[in-house]
Amino acid sequence: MRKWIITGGLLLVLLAAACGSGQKEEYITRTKESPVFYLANADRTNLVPVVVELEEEGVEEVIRESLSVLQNGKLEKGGYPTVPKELTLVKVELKGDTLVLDWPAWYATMSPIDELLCRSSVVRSVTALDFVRDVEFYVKGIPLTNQDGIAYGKMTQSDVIIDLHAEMKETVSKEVTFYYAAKDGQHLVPLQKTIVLDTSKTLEANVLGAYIQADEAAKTDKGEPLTKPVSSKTQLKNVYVNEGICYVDLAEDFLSRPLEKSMTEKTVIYGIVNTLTDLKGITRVQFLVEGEIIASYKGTLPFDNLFSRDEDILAH
Amino acid sequence: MLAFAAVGLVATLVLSVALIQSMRNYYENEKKSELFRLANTLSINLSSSGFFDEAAYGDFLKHIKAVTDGRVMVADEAGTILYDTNDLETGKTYATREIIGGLGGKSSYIHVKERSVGQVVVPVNNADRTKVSGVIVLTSSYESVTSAIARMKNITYMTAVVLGFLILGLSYYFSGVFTKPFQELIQHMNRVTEGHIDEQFGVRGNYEVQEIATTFNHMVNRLAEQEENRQQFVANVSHELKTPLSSMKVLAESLLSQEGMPVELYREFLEDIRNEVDRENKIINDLLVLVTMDKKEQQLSFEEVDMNQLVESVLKRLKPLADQKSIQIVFESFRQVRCQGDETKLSLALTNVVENAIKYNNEDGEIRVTLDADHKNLYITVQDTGEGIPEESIDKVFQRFYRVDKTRSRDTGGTGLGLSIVQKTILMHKGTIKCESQLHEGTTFSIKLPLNQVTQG
Repeated sequence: MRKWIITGGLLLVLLAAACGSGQKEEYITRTKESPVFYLANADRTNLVPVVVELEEEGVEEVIRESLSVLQNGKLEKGGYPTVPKELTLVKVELKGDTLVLDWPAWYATMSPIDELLCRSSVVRSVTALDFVRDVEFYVKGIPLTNQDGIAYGKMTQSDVIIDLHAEMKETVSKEVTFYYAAKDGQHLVPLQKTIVLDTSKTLEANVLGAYIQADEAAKTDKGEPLTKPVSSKTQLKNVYVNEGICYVDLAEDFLSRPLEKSMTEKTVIYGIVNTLTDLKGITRVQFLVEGEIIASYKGTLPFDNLFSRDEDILAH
Repeated sequence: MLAFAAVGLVATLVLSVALIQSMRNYYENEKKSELFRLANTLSINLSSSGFFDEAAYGDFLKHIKAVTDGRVMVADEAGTILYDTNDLETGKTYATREIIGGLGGKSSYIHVKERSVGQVVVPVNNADRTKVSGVIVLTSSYESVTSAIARMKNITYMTAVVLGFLILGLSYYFSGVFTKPFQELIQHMNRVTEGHIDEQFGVRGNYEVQEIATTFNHMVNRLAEQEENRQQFVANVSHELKTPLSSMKVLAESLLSQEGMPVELYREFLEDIRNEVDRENKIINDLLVLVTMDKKEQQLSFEEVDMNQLVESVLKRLKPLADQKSIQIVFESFRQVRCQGDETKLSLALTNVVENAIKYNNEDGEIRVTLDADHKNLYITVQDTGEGIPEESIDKVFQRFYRVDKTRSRDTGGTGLGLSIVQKTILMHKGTIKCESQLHEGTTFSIKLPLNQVTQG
């Protein structure tokens, strides 16, 4: 995090007051900044990161200087312009931490690739400035829309993906519900958990994978002991959703593995079913073992049917 | 042994690594092809239907996801994600190298090894293929490949380790098995050196060991035979040298024991004594020749010899002897033959052979001598029409003091050393001499000599 030196603070305090609420107090003044901008490479096939030394001090000046960099490039660092010279901004306005850019009509004449490079470069570069959280594009006063006519609206740094590898490494957190077995082993208790999603995998794959690997033991808010009904050694071969049905394909040892402690077959199966049917778009679960439908689980529970959520098994 | 084991193990490991890498590459390429196939199918579908309508294609894409364990994203020409089977990226802008390339009409493939994920990007053209409407991004997990390869690696490394121990064990065992016969052979050789010449080595072991053992036994037998021959030779020499002396003594004693014998009787006895002295002399001379030839320092003085001339001069010299028995000598020369050799010794050798042909021939018999050569050797044959040599004696004629019929040789004045000297001479010239004979028909001696002698420096 860059540190700001407080000089000429009055100017920015006034600006901050004029812009209204939402401004963080530490973005008061600064002298020099070295943000990472995204400029085009030589053959315009990619956006490349370039460290830029900004000289200006005032907010407006910094913004104009930044846009100038995007228009002229930093050829000595291998960064080429992304904003065509024909694009002279009609209006530049900082509303809170949203930068509003109003482009001339010429904007609509750009080819799709040039427009993509321009917009992506501007959004990723300008949001690198600490006082800008998102960017809104207008063309002659009208919000810029995609080909379906939907406005892009406020574009943040995470709305524009430049580097695929980095994107693949990106993780998102989500709060989910895991179903653990109560002390008697016959009832299930919901447990809220925050899991980290791997964006290259589906949501159901993330959730079920995390459920299988979760801690064996847990406690309720009241301190009552809980046990995960599904063993961590369970091998998940595949999980996917089709027409609201979630298909769970397990390895063969799932059938032969003995039940944990005092679990029942129902607890094991509905632990998985209830966890999955909590997700949007999943109403039922079909189990497969090595890709095949198996008649029964442990000889007692029919296994070849579709399982719906079971509320009766929940502990009260 | 350790070297063999190490080589075996290293080879196994190297091959295993190469095999695994090859399989990995194959599977990854197969996956890549599959991804492109699917992506291109989708692209063509979208292209022909006028690009993207989630209602129509949403479920279709979800099917694809289920079947390929893949994630599908569809982006428009502005890089905006219109559809994501993971429901995470919809609405976002993708300005990656691959997407920009796809919008420019270029397909691409990346393999993110650390995530075990492969991704293809293919453009979607409009119906008349005049521009790019958007792109399809198809992502699939390579985990199945990765885990299969990992399993294969474990099995291969375990197999290599087991194989390594096996090779080690077998090497140790077989090295013992292989060296044991050699050690036994060495022990036996030491015993023979100590003088236990009559002991045979029990033939055991593999083919090569058997061969060595058999050859060694032959060599030991030869040594024993030669020792026997030497002893026999010493006995023979003593006997041959003593015989004329005994005769001389008998004759002298006869002379001394009788008084008043006529002068003619004295003369006769003294002539006999003289003959015995000559005989003794000849034996000693022949022995000296043989012994001299046996010496290692004996060197032949090689010079160019005109063989035609040599043969002619030997035959000319022996003609009077042949005439005594009305034996006809015929010399057939096929060409002019010159060779490198010791002229004196060669002349002596040929003389001995022809002399024998005369001595053991019949009255009015014939001796045919031939001389021929090729580019390497010369060939001399001496064929007589004499009484021949029995089959059992043919191999022994070159032995010292060997006589087929002892009494007969004594009459003809032979010492039994002539053919030994001939054989020795021929061998010293690096040639060969063979004897063939039929009883009552005759004998043929065949001599082969190299034309050039290689002098050793």
